[in-house]
Amino acid sequence: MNWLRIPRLETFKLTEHVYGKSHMRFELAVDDSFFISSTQIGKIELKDLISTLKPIQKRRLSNFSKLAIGALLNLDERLLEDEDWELVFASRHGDFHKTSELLTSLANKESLSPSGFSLSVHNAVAGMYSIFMQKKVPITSIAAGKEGLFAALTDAYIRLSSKHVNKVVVVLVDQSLPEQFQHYGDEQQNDYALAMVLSNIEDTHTPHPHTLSFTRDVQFTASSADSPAIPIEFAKWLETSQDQLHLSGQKQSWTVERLSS
Amino acid sequence: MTHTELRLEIKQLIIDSLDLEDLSPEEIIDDEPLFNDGLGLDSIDALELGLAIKKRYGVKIDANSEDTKQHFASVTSLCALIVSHEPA
Repeated sequence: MNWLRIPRLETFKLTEHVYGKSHMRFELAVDDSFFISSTQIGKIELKDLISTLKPIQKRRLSNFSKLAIGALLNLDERLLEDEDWELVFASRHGDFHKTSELLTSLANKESLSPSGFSLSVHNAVAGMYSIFMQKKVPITSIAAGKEGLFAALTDAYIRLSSKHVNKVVVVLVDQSLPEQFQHYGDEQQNDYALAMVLSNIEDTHTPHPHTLSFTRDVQFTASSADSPAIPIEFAKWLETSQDQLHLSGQKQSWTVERLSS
Repeated sequence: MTHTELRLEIKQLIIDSLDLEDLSPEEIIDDEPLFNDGLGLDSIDALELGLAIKKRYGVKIDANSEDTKQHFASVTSLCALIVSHEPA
């Protein structure tokens, strides 16, 4: 699904939770999550995260792919056993280190690396994960600037509300910008991946460690250039006992709240 | 360069260009098939290796030629291809 189409869906699908006309709100359960960021990379080896893959599968994985697939592989697979589930992949820049290598080759009028080119599309990692897992599931790939988390969760909520599936797996991944693009950075530069298994809060089949509401604020407050990326702030908050979290991107501000169980 | 040295260089080129860091040159057998059964390389590897050989040895490989299959069969046949392009 294209992110640009989501605002139209909001008006049809999300009205049941709308308080005011410009007030979007939905609820989701987080049944499992796995988060890795720069501060742990080194302590946790990326290769250990993907140790269950065959050597032939690991061979072409960039650090970006290892982060994304590593986070997905470390979710509790029992939650997805015998379940219908779908996948939402979101990344602001995609595998930008690979993209910038390809762009450099083009600028130098060199031939492009065929394997680099074959993995340069935004949804390449999601596709590889689907092949490795032998899971033919519908996949959404999203690039929505700083707002990737909200776009991904909105998509997950719509998929869960459609009742076609009981679980939606969401993965958010990004890396520190390549050296020559660092001066365009407008948030803290970190490598991270956050994978989650989401379900409808009304689904009583599995226990929900976290039940959350997401409300889009009427007022937008811009984030500063040294704020951490939104998925990082969210993942860290999830591990605390705080009730509320305010998050701001480029165009949207959201409030996340824990629902009392 | 002797053929033994060239073979070793080709093996190292295969390892470097195809991200096979887990392998050592000794583990690639001169006459064993590179694709499918032997080393298990695939079609994208063939393109990548073709590009690496063109860059290193200036040997252009025609992707549509029937001979290309023969040239890519093993390290020995790649060595023969490169030698045949060396200026006499």
